[in-house]
Amino acid sequence: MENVVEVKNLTHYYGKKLVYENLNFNIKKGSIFGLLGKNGTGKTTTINILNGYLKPTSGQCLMFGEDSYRLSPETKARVGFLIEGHIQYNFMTIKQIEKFYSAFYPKWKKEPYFELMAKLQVTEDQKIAKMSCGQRSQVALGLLLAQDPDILILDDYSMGLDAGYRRLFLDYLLEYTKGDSKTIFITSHIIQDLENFLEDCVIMDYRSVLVSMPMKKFQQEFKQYRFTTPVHNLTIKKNEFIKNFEIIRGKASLFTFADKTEVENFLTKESIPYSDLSQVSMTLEDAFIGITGKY
Amino acid sequence: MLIRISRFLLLIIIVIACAHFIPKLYWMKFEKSIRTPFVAYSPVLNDFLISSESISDYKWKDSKDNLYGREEYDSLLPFFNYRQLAATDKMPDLLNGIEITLEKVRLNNFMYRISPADIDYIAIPLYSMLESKSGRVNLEMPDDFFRITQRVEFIDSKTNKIDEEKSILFTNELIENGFSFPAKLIAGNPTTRKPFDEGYFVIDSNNKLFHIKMVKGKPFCVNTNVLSNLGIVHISALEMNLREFYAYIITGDNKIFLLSYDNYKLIELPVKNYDYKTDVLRIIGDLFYRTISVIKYDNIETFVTDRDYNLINQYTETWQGKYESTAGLISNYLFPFSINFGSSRSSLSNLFIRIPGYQSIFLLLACVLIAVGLIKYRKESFKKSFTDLLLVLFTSIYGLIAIIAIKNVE
Amino acid sequence: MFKALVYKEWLKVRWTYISLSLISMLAILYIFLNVSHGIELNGSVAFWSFVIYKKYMFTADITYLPFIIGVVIALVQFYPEINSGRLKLTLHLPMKENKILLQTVLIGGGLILFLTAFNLLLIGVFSASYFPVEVAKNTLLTLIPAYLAGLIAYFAVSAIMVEPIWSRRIPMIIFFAGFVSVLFGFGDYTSTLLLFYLITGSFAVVTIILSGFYFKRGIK
Repeated sequence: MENVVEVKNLTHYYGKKLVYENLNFNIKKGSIFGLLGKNGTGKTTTINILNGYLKPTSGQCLMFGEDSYRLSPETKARVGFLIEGHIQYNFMTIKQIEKFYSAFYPKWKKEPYFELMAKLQVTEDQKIAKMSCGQRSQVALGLLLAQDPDILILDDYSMGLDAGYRRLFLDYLLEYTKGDSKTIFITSHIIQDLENFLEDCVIMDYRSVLVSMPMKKFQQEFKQYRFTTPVHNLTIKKNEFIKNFEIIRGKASLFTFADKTEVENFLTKESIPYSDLSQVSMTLEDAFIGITGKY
Repeated sequence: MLIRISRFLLLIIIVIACAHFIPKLYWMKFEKSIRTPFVAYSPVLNDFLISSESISDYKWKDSKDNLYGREEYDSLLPFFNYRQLAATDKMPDLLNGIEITLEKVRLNNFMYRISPADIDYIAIPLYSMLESKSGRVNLEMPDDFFRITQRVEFIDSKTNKIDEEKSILFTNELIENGFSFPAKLIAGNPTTRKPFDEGYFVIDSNNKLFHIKMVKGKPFCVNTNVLSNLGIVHISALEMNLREFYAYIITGDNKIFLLSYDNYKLIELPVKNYDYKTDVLRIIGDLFYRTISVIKYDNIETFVTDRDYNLINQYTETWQGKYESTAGLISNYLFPFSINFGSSRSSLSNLFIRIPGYQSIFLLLACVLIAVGLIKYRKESFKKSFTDLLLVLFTSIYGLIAIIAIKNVE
Repeated sequence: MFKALVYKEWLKVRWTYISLSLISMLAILYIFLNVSHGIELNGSVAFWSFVIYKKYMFTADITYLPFIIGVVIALVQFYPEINSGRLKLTLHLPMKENKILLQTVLIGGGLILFLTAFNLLLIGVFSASYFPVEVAKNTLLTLIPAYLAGLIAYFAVSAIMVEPIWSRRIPMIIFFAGFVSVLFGFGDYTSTLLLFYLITGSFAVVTIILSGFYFKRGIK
């Protein structure tokens, strides 16, 4: 399948501060891709690079085969972009903003926008500046749907939204991707909503990538084991095998992609005394926190 | 490409701002006042008297460097200082065999100054035609103003409408006297602060000089028969009780004439090296002499004539010019050029560019070297910084400031 | 698409623009009320003489008005853009970024030019009703530098607003201020100087392209 977005060896510094090094991932056409990670791990940086608002220190970012720093107007028309905080032209009213954007997009469909607006408790002549955060997110979403882009890039869609609006947002996105080969690229630091929604994901940590794989595979293969140990100050270094390790009063949690026998072998090899080793089931959020750590 | 162009254009704006303000600030800090010496001719000494700042106790000297104090100076220039002398009862009754009265002195004394800024001036071409023989002691401003375009037009200031009758009256009078419209130059003194009125001196489109005034409500127009190929650039009309001449006339080839009451005969002043574009002309008249000074950038040349305008004596006093002072010499090394928008030589805001000379090449070379170093330090490619280097090469410190302020784009 | 940009810019500036138009109209009315008052008190001959021979600038009170108009329009147009990085939305529109920025300032510049023409027309008509055409012409000529300063200030402030980094903004503010301040000198400006300023001042129109480049390259 063809890739809509290709990120190759992307490295970025703010001054001397490294954001990340050699970031690589591809987004396949028609997929729903998540860029996950805690705040400050470079999600917005990546979005900015992807939309041409930041020149990376090195590496390349391709959008529909074009260098993302120099996107042609035709390609920009194929990209729907939600800015962090659902920012829109808040000096316009619901009606004005639709009129404005419709002039730029040949495929403009105003119906989905006005359908969405009809559900909000606002009049068409209301200024966006005077709306609640949730309502503003619906305006931004409605405009994206009307634009009918081939890829939607959503920077932290959940920011400032309560659960209802978050759900509504995702429902509309699912509706949008149905049938067509539309691609969605989403970043978030809240993960629980995205279960059963994302197809592929990259989970970022400060300066590195933790996971880059299909979501299903991550949920199936990432495991948490618990055991008890008399060594209360036990430390296990993270490596390829051990993704995370926590211990509270002798109760240890070990996060890994390995199966139980491999874990047993590892503990034995490292001569770590243990008992009651068992796999614990995790929600997506548990897994996310498991891999990114609590701090 | 467009980005590089927009940056380069911004650099040019910065260079213009720097080329104006940096020298300006420099001179605000370091400029020392230069007093132009005053040169007069003493009928007592038959020699020049020069005011001088450099002499501490004495303020005055003659051309042989004899020094004089204030009291002596007063009596050495009895015409110039007649008020002081009269007040202390020291005015001589007889000088060089000629009887002196205050009335005579007063009548013959005058001083007039024409600066390049008076000549480089754009007037609003509207004038007041005063009544020159009203029979009243005081002159009065008329209610109307006139223009000379394809005809003479009087505009009533109360209504802002043209007084057709008066306009036609004057137009016809001018045509009858051979005036061809429009006027090229109109000179007069539209003020009531003068002893009498002589109206206007007007050059018509055929370069003929006319004298136009209003006498008892009637137009008066005379062709002065002054040669039309004189190339007059400036006329200063004056109304003096002496009634010796109507006006000073300055021509394009820097000659100064007096337009005499004797049938508009021209008298050329025996003055050399005058340039109306740069020099200030000062004319002092008294009972005995005409003292004409041409004040230049760093010298004053003074010519003394008798009352028939025969040259008697001349004297030149020089001083250190602004750019020969220490600050000036340093400025020549610092600034490759400077842009000014005003000048003492003009009353207009214009573009005045000063290029001092070769001295600035040292700083220029230093700036180019610094620019090369800067480009290396910023790890910019020399190929892309070529225009930056070129800018520094042409504008020295200004260009350097510009490229420091606004970094090159990759 | 240009029409849509005009629409957007108009929505941003309309109340400010209408207010500034009204303010400048009132200022002009005030000036000529003052003139008519001056004529009444001093007599028309004295007042005309003052204007014609002493070149009294009865419009001196509005010398800085065009500059203020230029700066305010630029602030009102670009503050919403740089606030919350809204300019990202604008640059994401399916047009070439430079074209968007240039068209945006040309719209603002066009509005200012229109207001300038309207102001000068009003001043010209009023002047010509109180004074001969020579005075009206001179009045308009003496105001041209001030209005030119307003236009240059508009383009300069627009570029300064879009520029994301203060270390470049500050020199831009200083140098542009110096550049424009020359137009607030006194005396008659020769056509040479006005032409010089028209040409070099027009360089400021494209400065926003450089600022836009830095905005695009360096936003955090």
